[in-house]
Amino acid sequence: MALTSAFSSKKCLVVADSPDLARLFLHSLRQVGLMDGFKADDVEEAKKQLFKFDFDLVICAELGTEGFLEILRTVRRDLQGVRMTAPVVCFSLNWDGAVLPKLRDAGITLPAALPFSLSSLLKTLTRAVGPRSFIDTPSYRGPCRRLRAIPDYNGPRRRAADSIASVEKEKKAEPTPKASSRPSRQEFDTRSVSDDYRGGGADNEKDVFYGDPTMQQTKIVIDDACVTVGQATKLAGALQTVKTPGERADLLHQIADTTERMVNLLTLANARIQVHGCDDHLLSRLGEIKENIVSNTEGLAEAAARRATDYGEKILAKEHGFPLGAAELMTHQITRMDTVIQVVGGADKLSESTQKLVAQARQILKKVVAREAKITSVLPEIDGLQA
Amino acid sequence: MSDEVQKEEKPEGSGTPQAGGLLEWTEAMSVGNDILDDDHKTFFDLAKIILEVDADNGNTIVFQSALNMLADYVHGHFLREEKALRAVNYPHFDAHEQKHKAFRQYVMKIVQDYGEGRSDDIRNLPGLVVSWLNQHILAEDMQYKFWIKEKFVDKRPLAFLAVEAETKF
Ligand SMILES: [Fe+2]
Ligand SMILES: [Fe+2]
Repeated sequence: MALTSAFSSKKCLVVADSPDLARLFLHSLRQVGLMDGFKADDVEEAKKQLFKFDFDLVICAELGTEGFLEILRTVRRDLQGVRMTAPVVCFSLNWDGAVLPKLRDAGITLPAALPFSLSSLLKTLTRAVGPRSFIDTPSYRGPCRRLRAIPDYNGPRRRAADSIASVEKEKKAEPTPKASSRPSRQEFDTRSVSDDYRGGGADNEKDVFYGDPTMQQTKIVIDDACVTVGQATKLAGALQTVKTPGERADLLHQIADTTERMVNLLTLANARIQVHGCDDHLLSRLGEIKENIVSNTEGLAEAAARRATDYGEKILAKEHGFPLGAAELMTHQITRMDTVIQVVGGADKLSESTQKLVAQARQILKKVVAREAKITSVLPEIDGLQA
Repeated sequence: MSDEVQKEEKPEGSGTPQAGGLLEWTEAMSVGNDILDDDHKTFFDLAKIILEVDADNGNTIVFQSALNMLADYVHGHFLREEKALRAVNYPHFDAHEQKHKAFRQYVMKIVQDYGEGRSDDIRNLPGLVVSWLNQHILAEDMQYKFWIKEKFVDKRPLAFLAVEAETKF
């Protein structure tokens, strides 16, 4: 076949739960230009092949969460050198929102939907093998997830390398893994990968202040939290001077965004300190941050309560129908609000109007939860009717 | 749906399902160009896969994916052929294009029906596709055998043509 394509020199392993599906994938890969396709009938056989041969691409189909994770662990943690950087694409008919973060943290390159078509396969694989940095840190190994460079991004920078590397450098980076001290799979498993990923999969190029990469990452998280608290404090201060209700609403919206980021970072910092410990310097910095929040908590709590209230009211007003999962999302928002309130030492430290708003948010949450419970209780009956 | 489309739902040559043993491309079907021959072989391969899928094993995903593939093959291959034929001012271009159009519509309807649950038996489809292909290759494609020029045949894999076709059809 005289066909050429970006895939013609690639070697791919297909792992699928059904031989028919694997066969169809191999057949389709040839029409994408990838002629060097191999199949494994189950995860165990796939692992043997992964250790034996170099693959440029791994396709997993309908292996279930554990199957997907096992392949990802094998590629990202057990394989060495360039083999661990191979793109891993997982295909499934039913993606569960709870599974995706696990696969993300395990280093998936791309989740994709079944059934597939020839054109969708080409698009998916083109994305999967496209140039992308590979992050190799002690706690996260997988493709860089910064898919978009935002030129005027002003939020917290989560990687040490950010302060020395320009966005341009990031874009041009080749997918070569950095040689770092490789933790064993067991060590890897004991770490909070999710937390570390949210912490940014920090590179260890700068800030040699802490030689220990784990401590280094905790420091980065606290630094980020510090920057975010500064932004939130500034915004909360500005609340005193706004004149129009429109300006106030706009400002509260910005505060709510910043507060969410701040609470995430503080939660992450606390979790990391509990798991890995930290020194007095970092602890005192965290203390300073909390003090800062306390002095501005009124605006932050108000913004968090207002965001939850607005969301809940919209849901109850049925502007867009009732989205299943709304109760969980709103609960999450209320948890963030509570975190801010806890930092100041309880709701009674807030002004009367903010307390009222907080209570209102809780009331609306109860209604949203009740509405969703009612809807989900009817669903099995509908299923039964259809069957 | 117009009468014209209704009439085109079952294009000529698509009426006789064939047994699995006949789902083979043979040298006699060569149109003198490796790329186009490979496309034709691919149709036969896909028909074979659909026939051999274990239908009792909950393989709806495989069937649906295979049908999507078939639709993409039809789009991609027809585009490849039409580009090559247009480039050499093939005298029967319009008639050939019409045959493609009719079969494209026929396949798209089957894919749509299956996707929407209006048809759950696609066992006849491979036979229909192969019958049409046999008839079309031997009666129509063969006519361009001495017109086609290799340099005008798009050499990219079929998937790239299928993506390009998405913007045309
Ligand atoms: Fe043809
Ligand atoms: Fe043709």
